[in-house]
Amino acid sequence: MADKSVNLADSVKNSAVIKNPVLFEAIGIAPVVAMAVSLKTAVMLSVISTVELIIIESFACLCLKKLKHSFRVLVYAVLGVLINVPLFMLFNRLAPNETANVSIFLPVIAVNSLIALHCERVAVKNDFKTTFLDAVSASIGYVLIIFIIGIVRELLGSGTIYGYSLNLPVKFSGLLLPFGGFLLLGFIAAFFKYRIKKKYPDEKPESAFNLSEISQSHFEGIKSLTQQELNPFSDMFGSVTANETYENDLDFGGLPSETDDSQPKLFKTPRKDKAQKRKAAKENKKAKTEAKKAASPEAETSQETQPAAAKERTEYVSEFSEFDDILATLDAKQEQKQAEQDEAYKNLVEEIEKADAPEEAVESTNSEESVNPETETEGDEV
Amino acid sequence: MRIVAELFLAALYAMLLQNFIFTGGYGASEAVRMAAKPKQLYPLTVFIMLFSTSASVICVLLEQLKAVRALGTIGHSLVFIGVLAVVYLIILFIVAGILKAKRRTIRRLGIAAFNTLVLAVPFINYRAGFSVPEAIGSGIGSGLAFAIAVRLINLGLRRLSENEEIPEAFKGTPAIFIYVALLSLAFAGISGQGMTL
Repeated sequence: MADKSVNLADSVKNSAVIKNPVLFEAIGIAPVVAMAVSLKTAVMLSVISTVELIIIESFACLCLKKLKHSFRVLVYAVLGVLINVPLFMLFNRLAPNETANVSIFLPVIAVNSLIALHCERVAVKNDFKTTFLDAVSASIGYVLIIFIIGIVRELLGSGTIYGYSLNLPVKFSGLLLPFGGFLLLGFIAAFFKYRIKKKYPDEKPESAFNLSEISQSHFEGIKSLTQQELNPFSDMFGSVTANETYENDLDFGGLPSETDDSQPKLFKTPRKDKAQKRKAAKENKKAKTEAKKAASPEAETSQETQPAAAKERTEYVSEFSEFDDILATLDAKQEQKQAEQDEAYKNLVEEIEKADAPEEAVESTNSEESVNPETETEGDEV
Repeated sequence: MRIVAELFLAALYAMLLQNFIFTGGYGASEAVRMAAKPKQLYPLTVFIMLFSTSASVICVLLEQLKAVRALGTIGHSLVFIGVLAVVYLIILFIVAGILKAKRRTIRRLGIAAFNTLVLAVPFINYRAGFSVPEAIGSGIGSGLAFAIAVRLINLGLRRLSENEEIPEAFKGTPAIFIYVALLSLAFAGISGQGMTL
């Protein structure tokens, strides 16, 4: 139980505060900016978003793991609308005026990027517990921002709170426009970032939004789209690079199973074909093993390895023969130089010895004189 | 001539006079995130245009049916998402099956089809009572509006990333949001009002 609470706390801290989906990842902005103009609409938006996120993420974790990404996205949208319908009817009965005001935005929430992103990032890759915790914590973070923005916009833009007039002297009705939503988001994000940096100095909320690719050219994508990505004859002409890496557009996924950029198998191969392939593969294996048994290992090695080795050797020799020649000439030159230097040195030594011979004779007579006992005693005294 | 004028005016309306991203907030998160990866802009714009135009045209044609016209907001939302799903599957089949696109392109299809901007276009057409040429115009215009929004945000991001005088707390997304708010204010000024639906 203690573990669970710790995990939930960590998850809320990470997903709702440090990596708040709206403030630091710029996800799900449209409903917040367009719809959160009062506390009532904030409540509606919060309920719909939370229910949608938790149900769809749980469903994706339990049922959609084996489905292709391209079909999963479709399922998220359809599920979103289906969940929206009863909630919309409920709100229409509880608060008909507010529901009529935001009627266009409610269905649009079904395709909120927050849902698709969290499903692809978390739900499809993790177990149910992790997914549920992520859904709850992301919802808390999202609802927190919706409430703050809804209250501030209603207070300053309309001078009311939950419909009750506060008789404020000034109203900033511009805040009710999307402009006001963006502006408030900016200031709230700055405040959150300041507080996070103070409380958790090691955390980096700005890392959630990658700005390293902002100076890329706009036209590279369209070139690759026309020349490589949508070219049905690309394989024929070899224009597709095999080492291309997957670049996610909006960080949707990055799933290990779909990281390769090859042509996907949208439709499965029939079972009959698969069975035939398996049979053929088995027969091939059998034939190979029998052939191996028949041929002795020595003969195999002599037949297979020797010609290959000889080929390699000849190729190697032909490639490096030029270098060998150059090295040989350099060695010969160096030996010649060495011999010349040795001779010059010998001559020099001989000349020096000849010149030193008479001097040595004089020195020898002087040394005999110095060994005289008289001089020795003088030296001792000193 | 009248048809062309209607188409052109609807496109201009969706693109500049009431840029759906800035004055309505539709597709704002996709635009902001795409501005950080401009390499993917035009392929995504092409697909958004394709989806919004085809979905809005089919929805306007369906409006001619009495049964569809009698539906309320809930019924219309179901019809619109149904149309979008069918269009998505058809385009997915063409792109993946016939054109043999890569996974990257197929992933773009999902993002381009199911976002608030593309789903909002049929609703706007329905509320405004647009004809088929106007629906085509608003579909194309919404795609172009997305491209303009991303381009403008990207230019701002480049300047903001170079500016070292921005306070530490405002660096990153806070500065981006405030910049987008100013752009939104400018477009609201051009249109003379907020998004009237």
